[in-house]
Amino acid sequence: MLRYVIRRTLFMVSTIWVVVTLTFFLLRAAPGGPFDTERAVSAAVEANLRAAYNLDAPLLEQYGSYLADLLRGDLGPSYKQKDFNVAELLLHGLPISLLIGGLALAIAVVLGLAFGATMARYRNRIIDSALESFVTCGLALPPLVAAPLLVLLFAVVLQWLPAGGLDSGWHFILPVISLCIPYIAAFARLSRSSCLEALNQPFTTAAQAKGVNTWRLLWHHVLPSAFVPVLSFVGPAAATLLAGSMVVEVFFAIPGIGHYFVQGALDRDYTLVLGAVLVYTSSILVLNFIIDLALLRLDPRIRLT
Amino acid sequence: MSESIKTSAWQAFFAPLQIKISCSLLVVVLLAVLIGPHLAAWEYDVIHWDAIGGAPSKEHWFGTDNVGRDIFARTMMGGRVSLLIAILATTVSFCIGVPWGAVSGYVGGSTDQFMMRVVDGMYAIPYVLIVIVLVVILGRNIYLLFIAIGAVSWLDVSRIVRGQALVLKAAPFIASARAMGLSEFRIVTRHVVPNVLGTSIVFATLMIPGVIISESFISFLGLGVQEPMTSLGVLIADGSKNIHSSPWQLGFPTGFLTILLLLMTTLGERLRRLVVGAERSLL
Repeated sequence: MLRYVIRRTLFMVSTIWVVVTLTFFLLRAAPGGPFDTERAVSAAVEANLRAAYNLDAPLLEQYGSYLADLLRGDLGPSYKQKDFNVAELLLHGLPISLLIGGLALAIAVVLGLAFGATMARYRNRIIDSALESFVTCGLALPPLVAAPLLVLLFAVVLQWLPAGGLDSGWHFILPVISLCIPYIAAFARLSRSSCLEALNQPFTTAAQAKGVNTWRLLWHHVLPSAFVPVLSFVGPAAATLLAGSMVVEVFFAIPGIGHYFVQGALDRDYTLVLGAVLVYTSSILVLNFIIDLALLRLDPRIRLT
Repeated sequence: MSESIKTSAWQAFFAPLQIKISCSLLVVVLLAVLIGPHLAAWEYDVIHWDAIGGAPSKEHWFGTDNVGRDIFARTMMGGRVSLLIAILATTVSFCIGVPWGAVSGYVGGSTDQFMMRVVDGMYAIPYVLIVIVLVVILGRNIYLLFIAIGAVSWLDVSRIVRGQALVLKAAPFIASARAMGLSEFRIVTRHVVPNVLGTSIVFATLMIPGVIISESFISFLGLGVQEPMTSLGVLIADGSKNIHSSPWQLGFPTGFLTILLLLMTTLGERLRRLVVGAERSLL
């Protein structure tokens, strides 16, 4: 177990290193830079700017000093937002993004399991096919579509909820809902099939033979076994949830990491983009690691390899 | 494939009423996108100074935006651009995914192992990050946009094609091709690829809504299609700035995208079920 944890940690660190290195050199290879503006800056000013940020040093030296700073937790200065460094910006955004993304994922897993189990319980009956049409619609409603629709309905027409910003708990409702819709659908479909699979296992037949009632059977026998594939889908789901969280943060003007990442990409603010990629990659890797550890505990059949 | 199998496949696909309706609606949407920009009395990029931020009216069916451009014409044009990019990106993903999957599945062994590890590795990286970094590097350019989307969405194609190629490898006609002394290259290009294309194209139609979402997403963030050209993502981004003063600027493009995605997803689902069902009955 300890060996597994150490190996996974080494793997995570090396993956992060590869991602940072690739992104660093790719961004430097790009034409244009953070100081390109509509009005040409005089050569002397630009040379001074580049010198101030150490951009005139040889590429390998820049890379070396970036890595050295990184080990100390310094992600470098932001080229565009001069009053803050990248670490400050990202640390400010991280809790907000984690809260929204985490809430959306949690709701998606819980509701998805509930829908999936209900669909499996009433397989091929009206409830099943009604929920199935819901699921198909849900899959076609990414945050980019759901967010405008929800805002138009609840913020503009009904005026129940705020359309943007982040001043109170009410402001979280629309972003979280618009983020989680397609994932509820995906988890529902997945848990329906894994519940059906569990229903065909010998242990369910045994439980039925002992006279366990349907809901108890579902709750105590089927769901625990159906939960394993659902949990292993959380990792890939989180990776695609990133895209949605950027849309939601930009659309609702929420100062999360996605917001800074997009702003950095528009401004060609290399250090900010690099820092955001680093934070995103590490959170996904850590999440996957935690899920794998949880799966090991939940399902003894999974072997360490 | 004989004529009768073809017709019965079509009949099976169109059997449910829901599919007939979605298909006809999709045709209407496609026609609207193709003809719409010419149908509207206004060009999508012409500014009307006397109709700035105007509500929907007889003249401007969907209203106008804050610089006085007709939203109906812009939505149709945006739909056209979004669909075009989606189709091109899917083609790009085919050009990479089909050869990759076919070679991987047909050659097998350590080559297969290596090629599939590459795919697994790329799956682990959130694709949005790659696309956005690519867009930052290559600049905001409509051509690079679909190459970038295609370059990350070939992973699914390669997996499907590999699975098909593995099955085909054992087929008698491949053995006879080998016995005839055909080169490996010729076997892959002339015997494996043409036979996997059918199923792959079905899965490609399933991919298109996802690719439309990717394109709209990148354009929404301001990293894709640039003014005066437009796409559904750009229109949603523009509309979201004036939701209280002129909600139609957001409502119409979003509604159009919603309808497009719903129709394509329903049809794709139907197609997927038929193919999966047909494969099961063969086994």
